[in-house]
Amino acid sequence: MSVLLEQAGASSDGLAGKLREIVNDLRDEYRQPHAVPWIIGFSGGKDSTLLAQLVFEMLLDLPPRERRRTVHIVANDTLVESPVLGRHLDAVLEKISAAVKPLRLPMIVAKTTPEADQTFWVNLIGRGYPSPSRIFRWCTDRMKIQPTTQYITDQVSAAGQAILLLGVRRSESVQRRRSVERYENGERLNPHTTLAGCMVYKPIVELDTDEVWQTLLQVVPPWGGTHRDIVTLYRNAGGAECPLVTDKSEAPSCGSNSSRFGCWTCTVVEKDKSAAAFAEAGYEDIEPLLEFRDWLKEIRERGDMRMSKRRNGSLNFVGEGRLIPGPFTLEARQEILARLQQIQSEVSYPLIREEEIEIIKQIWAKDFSDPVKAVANV
Amino acid sequence: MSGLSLYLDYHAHAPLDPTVHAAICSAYRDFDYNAHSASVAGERTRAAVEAAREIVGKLVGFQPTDVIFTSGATEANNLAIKGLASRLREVGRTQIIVSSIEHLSVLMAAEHVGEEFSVIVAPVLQNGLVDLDRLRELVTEKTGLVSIAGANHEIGVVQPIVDIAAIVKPAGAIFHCDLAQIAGKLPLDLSSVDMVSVTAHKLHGPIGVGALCVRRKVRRVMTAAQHGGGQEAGLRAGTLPAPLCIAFGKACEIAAELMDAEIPRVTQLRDELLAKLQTLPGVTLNGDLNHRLPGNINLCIQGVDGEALVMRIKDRVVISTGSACSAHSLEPSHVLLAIGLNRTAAESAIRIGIGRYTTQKDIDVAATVIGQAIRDLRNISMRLRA
Repeated sequence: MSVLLEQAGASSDGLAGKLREIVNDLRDEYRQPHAVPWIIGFSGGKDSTLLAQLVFEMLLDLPPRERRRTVHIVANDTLVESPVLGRHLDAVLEKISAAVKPLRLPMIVAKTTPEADQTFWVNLIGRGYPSPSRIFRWCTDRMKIQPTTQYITDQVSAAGQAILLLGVRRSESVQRRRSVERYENGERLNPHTTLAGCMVYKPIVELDTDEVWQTLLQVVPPWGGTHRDIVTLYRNAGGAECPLVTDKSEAPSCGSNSSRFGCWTCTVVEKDKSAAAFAEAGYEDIEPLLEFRDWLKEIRERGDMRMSKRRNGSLNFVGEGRLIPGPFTLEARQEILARLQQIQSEVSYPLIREEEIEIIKQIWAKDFSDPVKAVANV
Repeated sequence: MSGLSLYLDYHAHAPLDPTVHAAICSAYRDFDYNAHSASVAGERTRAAVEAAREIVGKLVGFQPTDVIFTSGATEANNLAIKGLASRLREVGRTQIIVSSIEHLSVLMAAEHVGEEFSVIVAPVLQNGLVDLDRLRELVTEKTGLVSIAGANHEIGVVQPIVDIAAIVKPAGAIFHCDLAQIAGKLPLDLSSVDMVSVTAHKLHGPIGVGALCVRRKVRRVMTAAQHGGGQEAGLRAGTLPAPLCIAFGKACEIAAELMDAEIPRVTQLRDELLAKLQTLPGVTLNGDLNHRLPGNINLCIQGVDGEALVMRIKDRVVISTGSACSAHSLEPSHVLLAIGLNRTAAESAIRIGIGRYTTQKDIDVAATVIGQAIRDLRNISMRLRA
């Protein structure tokens, strides 16, 4: 038998009552007479961690024979995740994976990644895409939405339908509130805005931030360890995280000023406040990354590092004939790669994979007339 | 202090006394000069600083010339330990003893004093008092320095300074006391103590100033922590922040005046809040009640996470789980582990600090708010069952 909410019935406390209602709602939805799988969007942040915990607790409360529907816990790795949260995410996923079998839970833990030829470095260094900005945010779709969408689509294809559980909360931000309200239909499940056959379920939508923290601190994760690790992370970074993203409207904080734990390369934000806070808190290996990100943002504006023509060979003008520069020049791409490798030698973890460098070389060889020169410089 | 919240975190910071506030404002107007300059204004400023120095020294029983102004207790603790290293090395006394519940500024300074030094940690009893029998065994002719705080920053336990000195001094070792929490709160016999650290903001003075007070004989064998113009007896170079020093003096003066009246008043409020909270099941006091700072409560609350409790009441009552100096880490307090608590118990702890501006009504409100939060949090407890 598993848990739950000691004495909650006798309490006038709103939080205990809210949590009990959420778990009751989860149970009711899970017991529906069909086999549609659940997919929990798991970012490793506080909200999806609490969501995963509540689902665990609900399942553990059910007799094993009633745990019939598969629950996928899906995290996305952009391959340029903030290393501090990335390490935390990997550690939690490992613990969850290890707990699933002994606890007899019908769970599958998965991590999606971008296609090899669509990673941040292949697009930035290989194809020369300028560092992402609010105007040209080419990264979210390729690195977050597509990989996760593919996973969900695969489940929909296999089961005919899937239910995506997200840890979004109405009180996260004004943007989030609007996004939640826009798609509300008064039902527990809302159709996903773009994915056919996928329904969205937001069990903790009514909790506020303090309630999430208090609950995490007060409970023990069923997969072992403690939630204090994540509290420490947030305390050191002081903010929200980039959520798992399946749709642009579901990801208002990705690349916005409120995003903190996103990609370490994110040049959409003006300043990476969480990285700066982590560096201040003593995470020494974050500082070189922070400097590199700032440089990537700066060179986006440098005309001498951008080609005049776009990748399709056309010149692009706006307004009164102002030329919009194209991708980074070959020299700029080479410099970015050289600097990245230099930074990589300073930190204790890989920043770019050999596979990506190979693809970058191939793109350069194809894009430039003197392929020997292009490749020899790597 | 913190908006409309009721402030009960006096161990982290004691709110600026209005009289000290007035003193610092007028000092910034009247003494905005370099106290080390030979100008008339400089001399006038120097005189005001020297008057403050005398008051600071008097509060802890040291001569004005013993007072070395620093930026606070952390710097004072570092100077006390590192400033002696060279001398201790010279005379072959390379053993430093610290208690297991010292503030991090003492523990870390001792750890970084040099490879040739061995740092020995003196254990404490379950009630938080230093184990005098063990200390007696640990102190040898190799011991150069013993650093033990007058009162602990988390559990508020007051150490028997005279008894400790009676062990340390006959062995020829130097005795340093961190008085950050206790100076101005309780009368102290420090006649056998060689060095003490104090900080202004724990006794209603400004943040950014403190002092290491060192008896002449010890001062003479110390080396500077930072070099420059030779200020502060050559041990702490740099231009003195005269207005801060003057305000520090004012805070010490007020503390000395009010101490006799504050001790019974604050103790009574503390005992009342403690009694109210202990009517709840599973609430236990950490540290000895009879040897304790008047305003300190440190509790373990069974079935509650201390951080969750602090967060739950933060808009109504400000308390903490422990030292603000280690707030970026959620590792359980080394102080609580040292007195024998296990990790779970240590994570359930909260620290309450009562002080000069706490009222009877505050105690009533705090008891209600904390009590309700404990009940609420216990209600949401979830655990995995077999």
